[in-house]
Amino acid sequence: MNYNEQSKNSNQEICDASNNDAIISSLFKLKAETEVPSESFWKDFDKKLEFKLQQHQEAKQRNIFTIFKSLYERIFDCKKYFVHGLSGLACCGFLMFACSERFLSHQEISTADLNLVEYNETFAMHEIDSAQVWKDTTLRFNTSNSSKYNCTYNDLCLSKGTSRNSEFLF
Amino acid sequence: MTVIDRDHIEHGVNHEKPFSDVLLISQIKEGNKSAVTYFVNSYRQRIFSVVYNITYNAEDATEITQDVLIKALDSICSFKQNSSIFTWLYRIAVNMAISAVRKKKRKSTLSLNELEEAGFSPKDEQEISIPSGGDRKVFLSELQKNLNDSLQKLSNEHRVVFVLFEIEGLSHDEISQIVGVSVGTVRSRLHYAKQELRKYLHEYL
Repeated sequence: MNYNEQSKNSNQEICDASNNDAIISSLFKLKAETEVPSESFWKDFDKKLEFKLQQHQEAKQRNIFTIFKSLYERIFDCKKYFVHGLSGLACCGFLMFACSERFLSHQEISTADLNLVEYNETFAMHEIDSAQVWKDTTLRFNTSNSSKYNCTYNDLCLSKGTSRNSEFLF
Repeated sequence: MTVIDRDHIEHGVNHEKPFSDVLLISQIKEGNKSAVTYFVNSYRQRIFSVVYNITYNAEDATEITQDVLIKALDSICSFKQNSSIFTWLYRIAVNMAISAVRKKKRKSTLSLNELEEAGFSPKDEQEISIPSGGDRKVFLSELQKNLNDSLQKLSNEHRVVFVLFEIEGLSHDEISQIVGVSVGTVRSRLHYAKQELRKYLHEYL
């Protein structure tokens, strides 16, 4: 086969491939047009979606409250042993813990304020600034307990191998 | 502020959107129910289409589309708006669909009858000539089956790119953002997908 014939064949192949691709495109367009869900399908879809959304919200809420409750109990236990009158610290500690463990997002942390002193099966939700919480936590501990424990809040964290993490509280 | 809906531009009709992307996101964050409804209604069809063509299972596609919408509504606060909502949603949908396919690793075929039972209704417009009357249904049924079977023979990577380009009509650039690969890779995957499909669909060519 000479060069001209080779070139002719190769051009023909390219042309065929291009035509075939155009047919394939048309076939898939037709497929997409004939696979359009009906109005009743979407009605059913929306109903199920609404139910799923509701379930999702409830589960999320339940999950947060379960975590809050179990952690509250752990905070309370520890508090009895070595952090007298530090409900605020425990509260802040919990929030920092929740944040560091990433089971609550910063957004969730910032809208959740646990009032552990007035804990009564429900939790008060207020705006809270998590960065401020950390500052307050350190300050409160350092002010009220430094002399008692002869160390700072950070020392305590470090002695437990944690930094900016309130694990020692639990 | 109003923005023209991309869907409507593509279909040659200009309707004004009540929400721009930015406004829509802020309204959803604030818990505006009509914004949520608008969001769902605007994107469910396209998400369903892409998921269905990746999973080839109407039931799975329905479930996954709902999960994509829930996930999107849930994480809309973290949406950074580096891309359009549309690209972001496609990315979630493609990832969830691929992960479902990997989990299941099974193929499920749907005939036209089954599709109609599942709520699919054929439309009348066609771009290629197809038989009319009773033959039409048989032709479409076989065509859908063959096309879906052929699509499923492609690798996940090739299928996703082909579906986004040929069925969803996205550009190489948009696909590159959704899939997270270069435009060159998108083109190459598309080329190989078409090459393979030519083999599987030779009876129509």
